Amino acid sequence: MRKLRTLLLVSLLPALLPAQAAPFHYFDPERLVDVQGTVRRIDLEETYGQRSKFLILTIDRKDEGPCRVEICPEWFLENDIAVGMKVRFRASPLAAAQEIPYLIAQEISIQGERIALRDRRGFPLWSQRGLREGGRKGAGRHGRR
Amino acid sequence: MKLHARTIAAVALLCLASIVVFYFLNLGNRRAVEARAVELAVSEGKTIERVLEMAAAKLLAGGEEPLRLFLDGIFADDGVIYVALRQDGRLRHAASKFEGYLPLAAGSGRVRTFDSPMGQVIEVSALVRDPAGRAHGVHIGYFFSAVDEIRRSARRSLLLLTLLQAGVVVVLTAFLLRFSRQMGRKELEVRREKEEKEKLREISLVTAGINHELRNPLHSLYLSYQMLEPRLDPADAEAAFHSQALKREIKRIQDIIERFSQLARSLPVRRETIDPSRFFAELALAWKGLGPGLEIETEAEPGAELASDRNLLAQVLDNLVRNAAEAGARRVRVSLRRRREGTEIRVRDDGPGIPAEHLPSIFDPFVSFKPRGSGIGLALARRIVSQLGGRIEAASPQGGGAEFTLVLW
Repeated sequence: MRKLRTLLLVSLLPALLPAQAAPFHYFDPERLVDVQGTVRRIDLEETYGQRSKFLILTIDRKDEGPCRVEICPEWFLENDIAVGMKVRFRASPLAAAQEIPYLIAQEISIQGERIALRDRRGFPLWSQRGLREGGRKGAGRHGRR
Repeated sequence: MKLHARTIAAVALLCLASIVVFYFLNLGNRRAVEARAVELAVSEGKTIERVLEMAAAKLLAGGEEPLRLFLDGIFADDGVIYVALRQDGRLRHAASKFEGYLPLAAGSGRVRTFDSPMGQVIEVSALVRDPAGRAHGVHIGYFFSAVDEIRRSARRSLLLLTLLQAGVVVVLTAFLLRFSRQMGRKELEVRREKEEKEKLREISLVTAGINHELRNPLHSLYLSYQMLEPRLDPADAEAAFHSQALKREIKRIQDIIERFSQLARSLPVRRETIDPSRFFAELALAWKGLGPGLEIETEAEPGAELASDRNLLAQVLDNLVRNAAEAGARRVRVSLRRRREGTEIRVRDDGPGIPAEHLPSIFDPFVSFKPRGSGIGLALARRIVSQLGGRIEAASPQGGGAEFTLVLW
């Protein structure tokens, strides 16, 4: 804590220099919605910098039109996801304006199997396992319920 | 002192109950320590909050950008998980070490703690206003690893203490059970010894009476017989037959009186080193005339030596072999082996064996299952073995016959 206090004071120095703001999107545990639909497209994107490629699904919903759902790093999920597959999510929608709605998934249900991706406050479960196993990547059994 | 099974069960239950009580006391203590650690963290958080408020207010005077840079500087620290800046509830700037993880409190200006899969998180939030009077919420979330360490350490201690206690209970119960069993055996032995001593005391009284009342008349009878014997007509076969019968019966009564006396009195033991092979060979010679067709086999483990009283041991073995012959055995085997607890001598025959119901009382004085038995032989054998330092057991093994096992310590 003392360290943090010192850090607070030291951090005042760079604050005097100009810098650019980076866009940030986050999981909001206060705003959760249930989504279901059919997978239209599967993308792998560097959503959080170059740490790992994230699995992003474009979903066709029945009445509300398409949306994009951010799932997890591609190494975490071992289930096969294919275009045309029916999926369900519990997810947090981003407030920031996007071309089509963008959601961050907390859990995903594929072929009757429910897989937890984040805890109730949005902590990514792959980070927990990644740190425990020394960053080793592999099948995403950990997140299953 | 034999411990009753119920006493042992009560002690074990008491120990278990103490484990449970101890466990819950420890659990309570662990929770209190954890709660105190969180309290301390919150208290520290409040100090940080005040520093954050002052710093943020100062920086906001120069616009939002210096405050953003300030937060980015804090974010560089390993322990910090996320930082965020909100204006009127809308996110203006944020950074998180874990993808999209920003569990911000709904309001600002308070310290809160919550769990995450990686451990306890503390969030410090400061509410400040810029010169235009707009409200800005500044949030810093960091791991409070000390709480997790305390938790882990307390859990480990609790587990170890519970296991230790359980171990002590198991060992204590096992010890009590063993102690109780040993005490039970000892108690039984003492009771038997006491009963036997009581019996021997009674026998001593009877024997003393027999000695006193019978020995002198018997001696007179024998003298009279010796005086009469030369006067008998050698040609009278019937008189000679009766004379021999009389002599034999007088001898038998003398022998019985002598054995009674032996049973009652303490026998002097003269210990010497015995070569078992030689000892058995001498005995085998004496057993030759025991009965037609009786086969006696002796076997001693090579190199085995025995320290005992030759005459007393011979008396015991002779008694056992004669009993076997009288019971109708055709084959008797006497063997000697070295065992961990001493020297073991087995006398096994192929006779009719001993009924199971007779086994418990076969060594008791005056108990005989033979038509003309006095019940002294085996009682005397046990007494001699006991005085030699050992034990004797009887059994009816599978395959027939009887088996007597002597163990000399």
